[in-house]
Amino acid sequence: MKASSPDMIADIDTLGSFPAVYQQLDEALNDPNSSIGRFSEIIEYDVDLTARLLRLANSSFYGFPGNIETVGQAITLIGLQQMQDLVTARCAIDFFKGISSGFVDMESFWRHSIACGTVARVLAVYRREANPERLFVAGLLHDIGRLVIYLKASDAVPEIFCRYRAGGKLLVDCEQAVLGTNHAEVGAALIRHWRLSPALAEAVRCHHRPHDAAGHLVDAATVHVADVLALALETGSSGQKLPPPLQPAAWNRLGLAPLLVEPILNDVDAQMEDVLALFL
Amino acid sequence: MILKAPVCNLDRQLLLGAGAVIGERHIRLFQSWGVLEVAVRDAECAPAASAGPVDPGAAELADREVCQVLVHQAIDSPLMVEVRRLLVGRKLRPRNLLEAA
Repeated sequence: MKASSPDMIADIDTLGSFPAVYQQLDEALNDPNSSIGRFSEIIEYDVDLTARLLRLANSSFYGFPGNIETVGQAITLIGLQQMQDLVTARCAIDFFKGISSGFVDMESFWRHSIACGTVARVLAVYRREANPERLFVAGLLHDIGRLVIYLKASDAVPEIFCRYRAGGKLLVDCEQAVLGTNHAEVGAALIRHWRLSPALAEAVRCHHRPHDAAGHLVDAATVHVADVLALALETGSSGQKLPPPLQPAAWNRLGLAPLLVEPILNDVDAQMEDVLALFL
Repeated sequence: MILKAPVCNLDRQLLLGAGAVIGERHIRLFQSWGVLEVAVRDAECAPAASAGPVDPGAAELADREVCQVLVHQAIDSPLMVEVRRLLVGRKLRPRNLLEAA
């Protein structure tokens, strides 16, 4: 039996909606009369989010340890768009909190996702991207379709893993063979369902085929490379244990010298502890 | 030696960030890229030398493990050569520290 991406996404409505704080921030961002005070009010209404935002602003991500005391200061430091990206990341993790799939160790799943997001962010910093946090979110959510598959196509998952463990194939190809779709397509459909940015959906949809991305080639290439490096670091897994083949064109598209991998991974090491503490 | 300032090419593209540890290999690469000089930190700021010679057996085992992890990769590409070198170094690092303790 094959389940399509839209079928699985329609079914995910039963898990609940994306947190209201995201919608409120989105509305405020689109209101030209919004002030920093308005954004602070929205964030401060959520005590957990306030604490995390302040921890983030004081973490190694931004290099002002201990100096940021208010939400307003944190927003000024981080920037509005970046703040929304980080709220998106927090909301996505909360969305699946407490859900046990039985097919994957959730801590391992999020460790890999966070590692991928952190590598993607550092790659974006080295590329001097204007908003590296959006790549963090894309990396964080790149495998989120797997959670949907584990939850909504659970009858088919043993067959997927049976084919994968037989060896020689990538998990994404086994998903495609059994379901007629794969986690990248399902994840992108979920992101569209949540009404997040089209660029984010495209980076997730094409993280195994970055050359297929429609208009967001660098983002897709960044997440593709980050996924490979994060799996090579063995910091967790969403099911696929070994890094999938890195596509040379994706690496070339980033315009980074191989020699930069060492400082990039050193920066990832320096940030991972803070990021894990923030999101797990 | 540790880079004091980032190294960029004429297009201002970053080649290596400040804080990176550089050796003879990096210097050869800089020369091939046309970089004639770089700023490095004072010698006393450099980290302690590595924890002595690496056991060849441990290095070989670490390399085998890394090659298993990179089984789907084009292992001879310049990027994967560098990734392999770094991953082997990471596998050896904690073992060396344990031996030193």
